[in-house]
Amino acid sequence: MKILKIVLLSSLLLAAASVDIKAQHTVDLQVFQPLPEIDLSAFIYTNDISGLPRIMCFLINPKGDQVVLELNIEWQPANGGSFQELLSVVTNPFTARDFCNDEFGSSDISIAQSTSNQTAIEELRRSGRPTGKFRINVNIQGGGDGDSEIIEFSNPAQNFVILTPESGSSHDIGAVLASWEDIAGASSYKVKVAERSSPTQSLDDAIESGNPYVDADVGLVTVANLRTLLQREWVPGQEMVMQIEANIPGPDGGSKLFSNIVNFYLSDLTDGSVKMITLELTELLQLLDDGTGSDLLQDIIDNGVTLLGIRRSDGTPLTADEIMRLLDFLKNNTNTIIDLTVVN
Amino acid sequence: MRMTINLILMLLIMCSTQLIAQNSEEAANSKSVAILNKVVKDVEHQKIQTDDWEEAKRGMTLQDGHSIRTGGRSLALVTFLDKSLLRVRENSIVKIFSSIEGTKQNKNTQIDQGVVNFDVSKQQDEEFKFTTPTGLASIRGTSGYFEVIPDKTWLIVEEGLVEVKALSNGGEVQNVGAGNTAEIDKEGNISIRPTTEDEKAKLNSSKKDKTIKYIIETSEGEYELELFDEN
Repeated sequence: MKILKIVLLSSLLLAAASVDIKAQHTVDLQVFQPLPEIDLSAFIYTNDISGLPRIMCFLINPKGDQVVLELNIEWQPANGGSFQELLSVVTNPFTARDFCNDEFGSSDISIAQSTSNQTAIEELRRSGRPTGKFRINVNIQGGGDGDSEIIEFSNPAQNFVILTPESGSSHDIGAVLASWEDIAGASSYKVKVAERSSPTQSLDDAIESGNPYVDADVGLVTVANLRTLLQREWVPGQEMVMQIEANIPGPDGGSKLFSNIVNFYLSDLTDGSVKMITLELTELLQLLDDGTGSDLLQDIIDNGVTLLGIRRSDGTPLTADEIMRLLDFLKNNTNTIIDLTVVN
Repeated sequence: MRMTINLILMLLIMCSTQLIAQNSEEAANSKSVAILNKVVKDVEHQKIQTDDWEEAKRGMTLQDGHSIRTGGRSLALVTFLDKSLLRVRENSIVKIFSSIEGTKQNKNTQIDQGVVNFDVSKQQDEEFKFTTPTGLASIRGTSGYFEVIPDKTWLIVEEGLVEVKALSNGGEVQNVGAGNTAEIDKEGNISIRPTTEDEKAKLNSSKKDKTIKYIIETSEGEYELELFDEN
């Protein structure tokens, strides 16, 4: 009798233990690094989406039971601040198995509800350099302790960056060379150039506003002379902004990846005009007999320094004509000059 | 006994009155009469009864007897309490005097050397004078330009009427109207003639008190160019 009690008790304990093990699911999150692309459209799930780029997988154990997966992605911008939610997804019940993100929305893993922060996602996509941190939280609803995994990782340095023109640089209107980093998987690039109406206008506003000067698909090249892509003529003195859009093929029209936005100025300084302007500047400095500008004069005469341009305090460059007019005026009105000093 | 007390009281009242009068005079003498509205490049300031020149700063107040000295390519903008304006151009030395007679505040700017552009508000019963090594100018409300060297003074009158007086040889007095230039030499001669184009250009140039900056980009670095704005 005593033995029977022991057997029964043992059986009950074993049964209880087996039920508990069966109810406790774990999910292990595997993120492929480096990420193949910064295409956060992959995270914007709906019931109809399938075949998105595979960037993470979920290993669920044990398998075979009905489970509900909760996924939450947060983003912390590179400039700090707190994490903000990018999106949150809850599936309908499905049979526990290993799967990857591109299977969300498939026949057995359908989405019960999803919410997304479009502002933050747009900010990420627009900047093209999501160098902040992403935190992915997965959880199996109804599971016991240890059912969720939190992985925090810094986004790999997948920067889609414009190489030239450099931000704030000046270029002759006859040839502005644009170049950018190659993006693996891109099928074509689109170049967009617009005018920035004032120094207070943000680069984002400038690229989106008005009628663009360049809005051209250039294929797979990563170098282009903007002059040849102009839809209408630009003029010296203008400040322009440029952004490149990479088209990455895929189902449902694929996805787009945006580069950073750079600003640059247009001038009409040619080699000939640079020589002439440097000569004019030299003559002006020689007229200043009180020592004003002597450092620059010495640099020009002794070290062959050449003048590359003159810009106003708001950063806008003077055209070759404007420089010549200014220097000519100063030669005839040297008392207008207050000082000429080296910028440290 | 009562007479003694009255005498002491009277003496005390007289002393107090005198002390109050003295203090009022000192207070009036130390009153700020102008302010340095703008300082460009090298400008120095000298207080009374001192030989030291100190770096002048924008917002500094000027009192009776204070001096301003500008270096090359420099400018000091002096604004009086009645909004009269002096643009003390480069390489100039001026001294500000102010005397108070009742409610009137008379002003006299002594120009030892250099160029001063003036825009004097209309004076009611007050005086606004300029003194140079060779002449004295009384102004009621007008604008113009002084250029002063030890031996000669040029006065360009842009608006209004200025009475000028030579400081030597009997002190000849003449009126200078708008559009005319007076030359006053150390011999006491005053000559008046229409302002020339060159002088008009100088007059206009002396009004410039705004500054602008440019950055000159060179193959070896950048330079900052600061100018008086022509616009």
